Amino acid sequence: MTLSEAPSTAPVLVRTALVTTALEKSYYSTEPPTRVLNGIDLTVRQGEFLAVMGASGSGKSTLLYCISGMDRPTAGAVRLGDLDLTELSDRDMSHTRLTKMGFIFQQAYFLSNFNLRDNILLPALKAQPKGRAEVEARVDALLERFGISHVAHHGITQVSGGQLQRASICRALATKPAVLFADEPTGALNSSMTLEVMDALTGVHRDGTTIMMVTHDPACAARADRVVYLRDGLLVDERDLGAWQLADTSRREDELLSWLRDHDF
Amino acid sequence: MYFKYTLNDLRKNRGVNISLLVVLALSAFLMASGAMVMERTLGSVNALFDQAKPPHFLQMHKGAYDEAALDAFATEHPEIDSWLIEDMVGYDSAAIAWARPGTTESGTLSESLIDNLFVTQNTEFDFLLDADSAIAQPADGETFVPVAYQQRFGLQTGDELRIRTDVGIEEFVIAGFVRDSQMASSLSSATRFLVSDADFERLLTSGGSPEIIVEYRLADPAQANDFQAVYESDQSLPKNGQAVTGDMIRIINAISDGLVAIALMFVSLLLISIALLNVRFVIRGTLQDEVHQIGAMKAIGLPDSTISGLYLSKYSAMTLIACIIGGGLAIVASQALTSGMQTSYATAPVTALTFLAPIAALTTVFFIVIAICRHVLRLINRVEVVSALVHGSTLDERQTARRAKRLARRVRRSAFASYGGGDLGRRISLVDLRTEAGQWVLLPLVFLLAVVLITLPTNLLTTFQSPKFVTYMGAPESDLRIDLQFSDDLEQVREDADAALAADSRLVQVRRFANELVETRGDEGWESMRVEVGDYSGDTIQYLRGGPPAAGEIALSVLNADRFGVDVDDAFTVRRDGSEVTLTVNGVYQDITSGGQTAKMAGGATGVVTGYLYYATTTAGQDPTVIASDYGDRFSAATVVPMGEYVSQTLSYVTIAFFNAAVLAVVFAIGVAALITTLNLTLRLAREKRRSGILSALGFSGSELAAQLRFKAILAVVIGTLLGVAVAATLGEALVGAAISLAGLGISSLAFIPNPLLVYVAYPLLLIVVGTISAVTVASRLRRGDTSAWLRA
Repeated sequence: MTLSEAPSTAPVLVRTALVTTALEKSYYSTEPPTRVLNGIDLTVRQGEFLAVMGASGSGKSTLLYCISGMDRPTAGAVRLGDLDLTELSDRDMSHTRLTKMGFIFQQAYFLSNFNLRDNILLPALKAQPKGRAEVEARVDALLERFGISHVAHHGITQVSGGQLQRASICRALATKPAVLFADEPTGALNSSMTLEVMDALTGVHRDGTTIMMVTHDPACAARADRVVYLRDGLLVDERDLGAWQLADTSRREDELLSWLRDHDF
Repeated sequence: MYFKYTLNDLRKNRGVNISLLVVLALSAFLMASGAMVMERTLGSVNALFDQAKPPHFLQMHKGAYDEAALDAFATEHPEIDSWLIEDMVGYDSAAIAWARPGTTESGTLSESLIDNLFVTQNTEFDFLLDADSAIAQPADGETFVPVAYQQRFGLQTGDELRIRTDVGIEEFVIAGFVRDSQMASSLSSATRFLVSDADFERLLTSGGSPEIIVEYRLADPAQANDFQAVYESDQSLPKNGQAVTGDMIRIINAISDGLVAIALMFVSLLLISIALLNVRFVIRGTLQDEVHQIGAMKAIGLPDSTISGLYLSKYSAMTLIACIIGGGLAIVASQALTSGMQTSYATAPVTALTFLAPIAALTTVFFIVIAICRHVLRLINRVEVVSALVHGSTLDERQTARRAKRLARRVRRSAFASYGGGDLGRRISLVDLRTEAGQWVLLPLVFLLAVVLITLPTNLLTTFQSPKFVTYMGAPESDLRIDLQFSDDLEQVREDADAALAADSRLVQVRRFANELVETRGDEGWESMRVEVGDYSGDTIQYLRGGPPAAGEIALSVLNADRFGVDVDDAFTVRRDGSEVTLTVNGVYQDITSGGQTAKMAGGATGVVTGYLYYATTTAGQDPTVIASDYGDRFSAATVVPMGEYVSQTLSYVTIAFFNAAVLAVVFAIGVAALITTLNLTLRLAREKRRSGILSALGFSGSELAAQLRFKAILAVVIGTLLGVAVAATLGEALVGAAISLAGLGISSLAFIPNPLLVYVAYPLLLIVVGTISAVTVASRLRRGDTSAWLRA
């Protein structure tokens, strides 16, 4: 199976945001070593919303961690634009993460010693230490846009899970990243909060941000342009869903569910 | 179950457990060593006293005396059990040389500043004991030399001792070394050599200076102070030398070596505080880490006591192991520490106390640690199953809500409100330190204690070593001290010395003080008191209260002021030459010489003068040692010594003890500081995994995370160190001063004479460097960190 870079019939120039080549990851702490990623070739187009699905233990989160440099792959390469991420030093990789990547995790990882707004400001100020006024204006605009400006100065234990995840999105976007990574962003939320967060992510994608999201939830994956399926560390299939429209929601979900059933999901 | 759990846990957290074990073992070691050294010291001194039977009261005297008066006095006082007059003959150190037959090794005793008194063995009491604690009996031509000289000059049995007398050289073979119960301590100003009766008679008539000690054993030794008053109130008795009670002898003996024990105990107390702080920190951390496990145990119905028991068994086992290791090491260490002492005194008999002292010390350590563990483990009782299992929290709902509220209040104001674009990592670190102050308090506390630990013994050492310490010895700061002791031609020697000193251009500020015996009103009527009489204008003695005496005034040493119950501005009546004079107490000063009981009066001596003291300052470029030996040669009756030498020799025992304590303290403080910093930061790293993961995901590199930990740790270390310096300089001085004052040495207010560069710059820097190295080492682990693993932690 080949994963196409662009539809062969379309003569438009499509830029790639992220490419992985023969990506492998093994953990040597177990006996015998556990091979989690088995040679992944994947291309994410610029501005694309890609969902990564698969059963538990299939390697979805590991793939995301390896691509974002939070985990070092055992073999293979990851290219972000012109950069080969696997060749970067810890310092350069960190800088790349700061300036070009944004993260949303299943649990909202925030620093409890800071309020919500400071947590969002932190990476942005680090990326742009001299432009504090500009950074603050951007952060305040994000807080406003995602409807959490009224809790901006609250502690992280004083707000709801949905508000916290929306704050995660604000934090991820505050540095104007090239790619937004989301690892089960709704995994710990109830259905109404899930809807809140997915609406927010869909909005971000509409603004042109590239998103790579790992999820278990077909309803969330249905928001993506494309879904890839992982099994035992291998990319086994993909499904192009096209751009999401509110009206198409149930059709896309049905289509995705039947596709997933083919993969015994 | 307890055993298995303990074993598994000890294996699992090896680094943390070993560090904790080391700190606990060190505490136990020091506590046990202190107790053992104390027991051995007291035992040695007591053993020597049992065999040597020192007098309960003694009076030294030079010159003629009325033997019949002494006889009459003894007859009149039934409280006297037995008494004797010991005849002694003194020879100057420079007149005594030694040589080893068959070798070229030889030397003189001239370095020694104390009086060398040749005596014969007593028959009733006050025996000089040989190495086997037997009463030494030299044959003709033999001598027994004090053990202090054996150690100092490396003398051996069989060496020859040559004494230069007026009629030629007297030769003796050293038959052994004697332990002297009254003159064993280096605070004593004389030492005794044992010779046969015939040799003694010859030495007596060959130009040595004769001296006597009148010694009494009392039926009730506790009455020694009262007896002294009675003795001193009798005008006919000889008393122009120092008077000493048995208690004083015992205290001085015990203090010299007991100081090591006190220092050890002090170090161990500080170390135990550090260990306890750590135990608390580690247990709280462990409970936090294992809260799910605790929740699960509670959920399946295990009672709180069983769960606490699991943890307590582990800490009990660790403390027990630490006490055993510490006790074992203490046996070795205390043997090394007391071997020198047992040469000077006697081998202490092994009694029940020998075992009980260290066991009691170790038991105390054990129970204190376990009590703290129990206290901290009470936290388990408050853990709620749901909070533990669902939220991983040891807090119940109300506590969680309270904490959240507190945190919310703290974070309301932006942490970046005043951020102007500097180092963001430092800004975050400062916020962490502020909000997690409770968790960071251990490190500064440990460094505070370490500074106190390291500074106090050194401050004591430099104080006792300082040339300015003479001001605690009732003497002005000067370069040269000339002591003219009583002799028949004392006044003639004084006149010659006056003339020679006045004509000497190498000397300035020559002051002469006469030692005069006056009488004061005591409980038993008139008693003798030694007063230093002279010109005190421009005096440099530090007065505790008031100032130097002018005409019609008197200054008293602290112990004398206490004894007579007077203070500055009070009237004080003395009898000089038969007539009563009422003086005003104008000053109170500290003095550790002459048993701390001295006084100073202005003017010229009018009564019985027992000797003269000169203090002189040398002009620039003049060596006091050269001048001292010059005058020593010219005035054979005078003891002439450079002031620095006088202080260091008189206090050598004490300063050696302080030096050992200071070295020990530095080594322990550095070791403990490094150990605790590493332990503490390792635990912090484990606890901050999530934080590291978040910051790493946001784009902070491993080096930046390491820099943050370093910054926090070093800041904590620096704050603790600086606070420690402040505490050591203020509270520390007061504490040590109080301890010294309690010792009854005659110092009631000790002001440190520190070496500022050493204790306030070098030591703090050393500790900061140690803390920094530990912090850098631990923080470097963050560079190799794994973001995804941290986040999953």
